[in-house]
Amino acid sequence: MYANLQALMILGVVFYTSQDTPTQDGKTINFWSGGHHVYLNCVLLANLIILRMQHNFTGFNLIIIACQIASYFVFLWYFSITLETDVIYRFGEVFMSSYPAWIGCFFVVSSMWSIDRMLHAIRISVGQCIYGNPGVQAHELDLTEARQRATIRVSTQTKGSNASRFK
Amino acid sequence: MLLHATDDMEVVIGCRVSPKQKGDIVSLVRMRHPDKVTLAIGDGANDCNMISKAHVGVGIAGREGMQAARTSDFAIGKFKMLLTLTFFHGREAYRRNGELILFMFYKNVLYVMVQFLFGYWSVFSGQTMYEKWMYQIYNVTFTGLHNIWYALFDQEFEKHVLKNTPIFYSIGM
Repeated sequence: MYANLQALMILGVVFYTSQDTPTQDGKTINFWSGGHHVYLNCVLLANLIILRMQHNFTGFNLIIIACQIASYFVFLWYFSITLETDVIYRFGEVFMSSYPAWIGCFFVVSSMWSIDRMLHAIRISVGQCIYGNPGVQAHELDLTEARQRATIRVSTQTKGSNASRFK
Repeated sequence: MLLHATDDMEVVIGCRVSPKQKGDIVSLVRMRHPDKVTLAIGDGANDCNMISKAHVGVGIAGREGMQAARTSDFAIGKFKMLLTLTFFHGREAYRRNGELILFMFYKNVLYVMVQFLFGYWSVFSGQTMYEKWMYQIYNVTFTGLHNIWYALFDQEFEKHVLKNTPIFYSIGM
């Protein structure tokens, strides 16, 4: 459900809006560039979602994510000079100079939060309609509360240990 | 009859049981309660039968040789490590597996559904939006490395926090 909604959003926001949009130099984003822009957003979203799933952040996470996203451009460049299919070689130049492309990326990334909220609201209201009482969410609320408490406890202990280390 | 008598008991101690009988007890429990998960732990060659018949076999490597550790799914050095194995590593592995399976579905549905929805626009002519090579390397290059990192190193809470909070052990979490 989540992926379907995001796929719909990517197609709507990124592909249809960027189709044949004139860029600063008067060129247009053609079909293949639009398609690969969609693909870039899929890669971006998949990487950001797994980054959000992580609980302990280290620099390596961000490096891996950055490398994976950057490798997309490297592969496109490589394919454009080796495959000689001529369908994607203009992706970089078109993408970089296109406002709709950048705005599309922004909307897609922001959909991580907006679609989350929407699905959460739907799930709660559907749960109430089916089960009639908020008992369905009781377990979920308990878990959320326990997670918050545990996080606070961990952060307090970490601060304490740092303080004692400095003493 | 043995299981019928011991159904309501929390602890059952069996004395002077042969290796085969140990294995049989595990098999009987699995047969009587197919929805339950069994764990067998042992340190010697006489526990191998039991370890191999349980859902989760844990072997202790040490004084009595390596047979139990080699038969088991998980090998530990001391009996006291069982607590950490099940309540920390077990729980974390369960969580990471579950989340990664969902993530795998998510990321593949994401980029396949775009193509499917595009079919309505192209009257299902079979026109692809991406270069064919891009399809092949999506899971391997663009979204693959971080999954390995997540599966190996992600940790939600510290050991002592998990052990003191029983609600974190519910199914589905």
